[in-house]
Amino acid sequence: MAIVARERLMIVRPGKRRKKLYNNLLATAFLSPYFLFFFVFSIIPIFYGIYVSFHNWTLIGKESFAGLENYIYVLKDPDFWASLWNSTYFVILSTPVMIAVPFFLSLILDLNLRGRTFLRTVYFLPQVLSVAVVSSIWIYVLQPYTGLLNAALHALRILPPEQEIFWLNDPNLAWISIVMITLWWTQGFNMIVFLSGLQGIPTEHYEAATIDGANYWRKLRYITFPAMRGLIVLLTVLQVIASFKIFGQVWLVTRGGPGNETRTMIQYIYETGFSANDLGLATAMSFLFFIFLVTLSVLQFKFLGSKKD
Amino acid sequence: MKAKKPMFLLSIMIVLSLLASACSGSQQQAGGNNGQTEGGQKESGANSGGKTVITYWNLFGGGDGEIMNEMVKQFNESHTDIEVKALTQDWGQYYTKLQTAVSGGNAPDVGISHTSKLSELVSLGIVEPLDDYAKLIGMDWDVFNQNMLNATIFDGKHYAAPLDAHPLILYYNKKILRELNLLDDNELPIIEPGPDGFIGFLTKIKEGVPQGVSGMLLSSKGEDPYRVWWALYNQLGGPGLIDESGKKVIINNEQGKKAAEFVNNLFASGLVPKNMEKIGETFQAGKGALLPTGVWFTGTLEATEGLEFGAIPFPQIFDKPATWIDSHTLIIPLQKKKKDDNKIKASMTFIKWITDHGATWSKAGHIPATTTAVESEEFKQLPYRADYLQAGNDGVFLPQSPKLWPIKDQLVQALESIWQGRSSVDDGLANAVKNMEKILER
Repeated sequence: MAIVARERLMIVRPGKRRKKLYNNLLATAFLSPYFLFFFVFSIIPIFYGIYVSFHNWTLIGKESFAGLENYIYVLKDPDFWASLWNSTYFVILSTPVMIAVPFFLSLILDLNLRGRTFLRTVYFLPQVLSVAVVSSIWIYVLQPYTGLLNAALHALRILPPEQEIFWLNDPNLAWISIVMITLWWTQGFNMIVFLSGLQGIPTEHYEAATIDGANYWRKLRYITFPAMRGLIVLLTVLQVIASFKIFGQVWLVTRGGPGNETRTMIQYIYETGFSANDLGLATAMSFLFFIFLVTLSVLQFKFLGSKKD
Repeated sequence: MKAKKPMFLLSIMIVLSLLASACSGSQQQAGGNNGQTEGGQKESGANSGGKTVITYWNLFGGGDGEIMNEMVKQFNESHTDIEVKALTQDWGQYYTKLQTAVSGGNAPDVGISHTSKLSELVSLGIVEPLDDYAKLIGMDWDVFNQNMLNATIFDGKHYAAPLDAHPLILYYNKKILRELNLLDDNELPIIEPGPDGFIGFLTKIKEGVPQGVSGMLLSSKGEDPYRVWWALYNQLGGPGLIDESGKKVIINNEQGKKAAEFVNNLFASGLVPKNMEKIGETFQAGKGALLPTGVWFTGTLEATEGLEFGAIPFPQIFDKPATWIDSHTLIIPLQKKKKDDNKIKASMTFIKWITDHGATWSKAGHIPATTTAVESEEFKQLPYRADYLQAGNDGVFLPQSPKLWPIKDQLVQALESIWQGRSSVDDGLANAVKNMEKILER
């Protein structure tokens, strides 16, 4: 019966197959410009980079075949591990904050407050600024002697006039400053995503809970968190990957200093490639870092991911 | 169905037009960025109107850039058979662009190089030796300051023509020092000899200045304190940065330690506040007594209204006069395509003219490299420059090493952790040697 019905359909509407072809062509036409650029400017350079990493290569060009020498050198290089640790340290410091703060902000914005649209805009606005602008602003705020923060602390007599807090120069404070800057800058994105997730939770669940006599915290724990779990995991994974790739703010604010104590992985790769003019080494480092990130992401999804409630 | 056909056509057209505009957009941008190169390429092939056209890349921005462009204009006006097209590249990307341009076969005809970067360019084989070309136009190497010239000779061959020298000197605020009775009859600062004398000088300033005014404006990070260290290291008679083989670093010795301890003490004792920012602007605002920095700041200070300042070579604190120095030189990059004798001649003519007119260039504050320029009337009329001319002879250039800039970066970072109190003087120097030798080994 189904076969007969289908044949009938084909007789009745001969244009259906043509329509499907037309739809496919249209889709391809729209997708192809993007894929062309993606292939040429992202995919091909990735494989070209792998090729470079097996050679001694400078800005002038290919010099000689090096086999696995670059990779061995990198794995034995203490500066590589040091900058990997610096990036990891930043991830450890910033990820919890970058998930928790936007989440709680989104909880606040989910309530029916007056002016919540205004607040939403305000919290998201820093995301619009570029890294150079953000870094410039925060250097003005945090710099010693003339910065806004120290001036305020002096004016409030919290800080004695002779003393200065070196927010950007003491390595421990520098990391806190960088986390603070990054949080101010990018929490808006996570917040908006959480907000849309919250608004997807059906209100009936909350109403049912209220009837059962649950207070705010119980609702949060038993309804909100489980419902948001998938989103929290997803954003955590994305946040971890993005945080590992940090470069701009650190470069502009501390230049990796003092010494090399805040030098991140990306900065080290950049310095090796363009300052020390050793592109083979830089690409080898990039690939080892890539493998590290992929492994980490897979593990994250495995362990945080699919626990069914 | 019928309504869909025009939609389909419309969407294809939109996509195609987006593609087309994207392509032409990027071409325009590429044209903008490398337009000078492409323009240069097109015109370097031809001789427009009987003139030889040459391209000239430099990295001079700000005040330096204005003066250089003015000089190029003067050259073009006085030479009817040559036209120079000058292009200023961003300072930070200049050398990367130069290298990629040479390897891409569209290098400029004339370029600039820091003396300290020259050994890297020579070892990469991207600059041409100039001895034969100099003979073409009868350029005499003897008119150049020998200290500056020697640093540009590799294997007995000249690879560059020095344009200027920009050593580390000391600017001082005349008004502040006068009020502290620290200026003599010639309006020069009164500094007792020796390290104690200099510390005493700084202490008198610190104790005497009003609130809000600083004594010596020296940053505790980056290149400034490293240059002071290099000056003191050589004043103590340090044996240099690297040994004969070019693979070992020889600064972890008595002189290196003593120099580092002196600089470190300036910060540790509180004579110089740590982590000062915007020291140039602070000095310009008249809120600082001393500013040790390079001669390039003279032009800017001259233009600052109401600032009464003076300039002297960096004081001799230890056994002999010495300071940090680097210089700009003119080079001829390697051309992958066939050599054009007309262009080489034109390039050399341009190089000779520019170096002869070092007095005009000196308006930027730099010390000219030729005796022709130094003895010219134009130079003698400029204030301040004669006061620090001697620094051009006392300056100790960094050694010739193809990896000079990368190892210098390592040295700056290691010294920075000393000034910041993150490592002791001994550890800091040991780390410097370790990190620098790691790069030299590769």
